Amino acid sequence: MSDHAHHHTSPHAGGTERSAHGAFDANDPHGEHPSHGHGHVIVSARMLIVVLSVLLVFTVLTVFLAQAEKWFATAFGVEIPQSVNVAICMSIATIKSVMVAMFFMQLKYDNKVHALVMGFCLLAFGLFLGFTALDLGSRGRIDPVKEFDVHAGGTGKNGLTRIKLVNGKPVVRRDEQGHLILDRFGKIQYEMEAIDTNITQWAKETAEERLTRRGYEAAMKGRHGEHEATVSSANQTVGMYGPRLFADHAEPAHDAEPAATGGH
Amino acid sequence: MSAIDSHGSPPTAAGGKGPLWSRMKHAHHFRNHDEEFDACKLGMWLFLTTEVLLFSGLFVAYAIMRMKYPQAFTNGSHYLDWRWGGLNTIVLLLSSFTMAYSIRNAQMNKQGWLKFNLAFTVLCGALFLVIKFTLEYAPKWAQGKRPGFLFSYPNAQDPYEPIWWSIYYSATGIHATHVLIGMGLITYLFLRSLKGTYGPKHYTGVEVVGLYWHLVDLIWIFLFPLLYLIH
Repeated sequence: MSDHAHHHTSPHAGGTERSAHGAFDANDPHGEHPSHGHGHVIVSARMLIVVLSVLLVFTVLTVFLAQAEKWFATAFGVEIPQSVNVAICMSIATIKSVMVAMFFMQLKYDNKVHALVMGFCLLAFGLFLGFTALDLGSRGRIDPVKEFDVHAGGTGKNGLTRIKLVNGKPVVRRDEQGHLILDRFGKIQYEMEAIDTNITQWAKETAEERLTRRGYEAAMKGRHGEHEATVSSANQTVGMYGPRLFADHAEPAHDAEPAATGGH
Repeated sequence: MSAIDSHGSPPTAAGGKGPLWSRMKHAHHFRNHDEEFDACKLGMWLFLTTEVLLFSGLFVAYAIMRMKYPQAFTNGSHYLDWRWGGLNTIVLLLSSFTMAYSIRNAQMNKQGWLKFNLAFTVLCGALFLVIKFTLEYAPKWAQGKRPGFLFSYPNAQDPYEPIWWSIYYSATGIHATHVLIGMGLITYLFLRSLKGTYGPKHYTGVEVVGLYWHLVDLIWIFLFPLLYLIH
C-alpha cells in the first residue's frame, strides 16, 4: 500500500535527516489530517558519536578536577571552600545532562511541549530544593536555638546507641591504639551531650536577654493575655531579628487602632 | 471532526506482505501511526517528570543531611571509590549511546545493528549492576557500612555516618532498581526485534523505552558527583 510504501530519507541540516511519508494516506485520503510538519528526525551517526565523546570527556574532566582540587589543597596547604567543589561538579553534571536530553532524548528536535513539561517539573524541583535550603540556612536568624544539629527523632536512637547494642549485646572492639571502640564512642556521645547542654543554655540566655531588651515579653502579654513567651520552643518560633513578613511584635499599639482608619 | 472509528478498516490486512514492522497496526483509537507515536512520547515524558520528582525527594534529603552533618558526608564520600563510580558512569553513557543508536537503526531499517545495539545496551546495564553489587554494595555491607539502624562499622569517625549510608543506599538502590526495570524493557524490545517488529514505520517502543533509559542515565550523571566526588 502506498500508505507505507514510500519511506525515503533525505539529508537535512543540523546533523539530522528527516523522514517523509508517501503522498497518499489511505486513512486520510483528503489530507484532512496532514502528517506533522516536523516529521520524524533521524539523528545522524556523527552527531551521536560527537555527543558520546563530549560526555566521556566531561566525565574524565569532573573526576580529574575533583582529584586535582584535593591534591592542590594538601600540596599547598590551602583550604578550598567546598562550594568550589560543589559548583564544579554540578556545572559539569548539568552540561552532561543537557547534552543527553538534547541529543539522545532528542529534545532539540522534538515537539516543544516535551521540553515545557520537563521544564515545569524541574521548576517544581527547584522550588522544593530552594525553599528547603532557604529554611535550613536561615534558621539561626530567627532563633539561635534552631541553628544547631537536628537530633534523631522517633525512637531517639541514632548510630551511636546502635553501635552499643548490635544484636542485643554491646560491640567491643579495639582500635589501632588498643582502646576500646565502645569507650571512644561513649566519650564522643558524652561530649556531644555536654556541648548540646551548653549550647542550649547559651541560646536560652541569649534569647531571654534579647526578649527582655526588646520589651517583647510585655508586648506578648499585652496581646495574648495569659500567654507567656519567654523563649521559643519547637512549637513556638519567635522572631528575634532579621527580615520579617508581619508587623513588629514590639509595636502593639497598631493593634489597638481600628481597621478602617486609612488616613495614612 | 467525525467519530473516531469512521475511518474504516486499519491500514493493512493481517495477511499482507512485507516485513513485520510495515504490517504493525496502530491502536484503533488513533488516526495514524504519527498520532500514536506523538501520544506515546508525550505520555512517556509525563511519566518521566514523575520519575524526576521521585528522585528529587532523594536529592533534597541528600542536601538537608549534607547541610546538617557535613563531616559525616565528607567521610562518606571518602569511603567510596571514585574509580568504580567513574567506570559505571562510562558504562551507562555507552549504553545510552547504543540506545540512541538503536532508534536510528530502527528508523533506517538496519535490523542487524538494531538487535546488536539493543543487546549491547542490556549487557551494559548488567555490567553496571554487577559492578555495583559485587564491588560496592557487598564489601561495604560486610564491613558494617549499612544504612540507619543496621549500621555497625566499628571504625566510624562521625556519629552521623549511618545517615550517609541511608542516603547512599536509598539513592543508588532506587537507581539500580530503575536499571533493572530498564533492562527488562530493553530485553523485551530485543526479543521483539528478532521478529522484525521495529522498522521505519514502527519504532515507538524503541523510542519510548529509550527515553526511560536516558533518564536512568541522567540520574546517575548527578548521583555520581554527589556521592563520589564532592568531598
